[in-house]
Amino acid sequence: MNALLEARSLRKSYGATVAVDSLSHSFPEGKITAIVGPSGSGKTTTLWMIAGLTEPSGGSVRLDGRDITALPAHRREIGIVFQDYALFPHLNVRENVEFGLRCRHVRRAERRRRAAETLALVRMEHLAERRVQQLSGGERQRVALARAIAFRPRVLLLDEPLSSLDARLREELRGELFRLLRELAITTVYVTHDQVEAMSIGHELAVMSSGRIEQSGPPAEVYRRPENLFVAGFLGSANIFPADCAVRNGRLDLALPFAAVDAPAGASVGPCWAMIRPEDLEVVRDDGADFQAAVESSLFLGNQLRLLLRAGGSRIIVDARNDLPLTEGAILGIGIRAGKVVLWPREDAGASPKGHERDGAGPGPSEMPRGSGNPDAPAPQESLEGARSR
Amino acid sequence: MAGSFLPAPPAHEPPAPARMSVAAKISTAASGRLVATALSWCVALFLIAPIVVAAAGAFSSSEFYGHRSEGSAPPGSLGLFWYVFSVWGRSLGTSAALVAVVVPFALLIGAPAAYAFRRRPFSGSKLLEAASMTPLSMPGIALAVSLLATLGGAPRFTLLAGGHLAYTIPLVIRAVGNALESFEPDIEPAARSLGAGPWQVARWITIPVLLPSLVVSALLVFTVSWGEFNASFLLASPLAQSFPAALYVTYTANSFPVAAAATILFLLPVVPALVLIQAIGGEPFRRGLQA
Repeated sequence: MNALLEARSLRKSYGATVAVDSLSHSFPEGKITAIVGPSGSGKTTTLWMIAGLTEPSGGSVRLDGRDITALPAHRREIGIVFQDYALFPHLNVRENVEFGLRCRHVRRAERRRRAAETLALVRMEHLAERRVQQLSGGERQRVALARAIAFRPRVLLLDEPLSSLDARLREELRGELFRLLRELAITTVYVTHDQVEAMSIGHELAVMSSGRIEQSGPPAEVYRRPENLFVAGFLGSANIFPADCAVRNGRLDLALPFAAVDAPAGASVGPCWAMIRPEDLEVVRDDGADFQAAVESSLFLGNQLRLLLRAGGSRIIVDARNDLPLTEGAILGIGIRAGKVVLWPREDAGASPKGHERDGAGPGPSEMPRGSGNPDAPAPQESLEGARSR
Repeated sequence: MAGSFLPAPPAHEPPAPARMSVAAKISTAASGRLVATALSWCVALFLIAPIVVAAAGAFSSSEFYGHRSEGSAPPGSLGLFWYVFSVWGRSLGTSAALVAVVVPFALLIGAPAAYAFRRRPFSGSKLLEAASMTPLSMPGIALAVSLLATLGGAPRFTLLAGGHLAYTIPLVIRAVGNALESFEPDIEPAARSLGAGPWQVARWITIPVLLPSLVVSALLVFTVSWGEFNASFLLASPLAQSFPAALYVTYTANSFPVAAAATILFLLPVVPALVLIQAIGGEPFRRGLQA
């Protein structure tokens, strides 16, 4: 694929603090790449370096194979939508959108025509003469987008464009924004801390942590086959257990702390970490179950029921149908969907996989309302008591 | 509006606790507004009173004010103004020239300094910004003496301008600095990303956005420079004497009506400036600065 935008060993440090740590990535032409990561992982700094607004400490930015690292921001032809929108307060909506064209000395009539065209694209043409102070958050976001695309940039950068909107509006605008961005078919880098946003917008997903890209690829691929604990825990929820692969009776067996199952294809003998998504575990009849687990607590999420189970000293999250008849302290039969276990090699029994930085994302289930999540810890009695009294 | 359909003052109702707190807030706000109004009036009267006294003195023929009068001019007529103008015209000219020099220079020095402090902070810039405020509390005599000690050989007008700049640059730094804080810092990077070079960013974004604060700064500098007495009095020479310094001589040497008339003359350009500051400080000012 012809990569239009490229970052090569891009680095930014502020004194001893490293914000971006030799980041290399090719952003495919005409596609949307979503960069997702927790706050402080260097997403915005990366974006600002691409835009030429922050000078890198090292490495280079290339556009169409040309090194643009030394090119000032105003000559890069890169549009950017800022997190706080940064609309010009002394100009009205139309003048904001025209600004890029004014800098390029486009004639007044042509400027007007193109601003109107762009405003129509974001369905803001009726507010062209409004002052930006009179706009709502969602309207500002659209004007910011219109301003960034009106001068037809080569690359579009968006820095958390939905994060300053309230949850309901965000939901509403997300679909509209995504449809528009896909229609534009411009090389786009979309930065967000919201994993759902990132997975749904991007043709390509890059997960960032501590100034590095941990993993990149098509969103479904990254979600299904996370390469390390950080990625597994950051995108959705994950059950992670210490396990062992061993040959038994001529077959490769995966020994989980609470069950032994067939090892997935491509597994090799030795200690490993096993990751299973909550939705890849299902409540089944006893005869089809891979293991039995006791219900510790449950969380009704509307469209599904999230169960916290305990089996053999491990805590396990299972997403079940929301109409599952549940009795307190029930023992359930759980089946693991075929081919859904992800394994990473485990060098020594005590260490956790690479990327073990996120709070509460240690081995064990994440995103449950309580509990330490450590599968090796002895069963906390008070926690079970608490579950029963619910 | 007693006897309306509105319920009794909500503060006296015993409704649900949530309502109670809202009602309490409303009544607190109402009484707070009353106190604020009364206070504002007191302050305004306190500030206006000397002007009223001076005005009364200027137009009064009463000997109550003029007991020291030498009868140099007929009081109670506009002729008094012309008298003052003819006597103190030179110092009025000096003051006008001072203002004409001090206002642009205070802006040219203060605004970039404020920009540097807020937008390009360097190590120690916070301290430096705080230090730049010290002339505001410096006694005029100390400032005048230090200016004379260091730049004693310079023309008196230059020294006067220097003294005024020391008092007015901090005002500009403060006003422009506050304006810079109040708009989003990303608008300049946004302009750059849209294709604006450094000059275009300044011309189309930074200066227009700062314009209200620059105008207010200019008017503040004008009123301060026009009225500055302490340092000006000590730095004055017979040929370079600002109007307030001349006013002192009028108050001590001439009759009160003459001095009062001179004061009114002095206040003439200040009042429109103050009105303008007030007007700009209102809607257009906020519109220009709010993001």
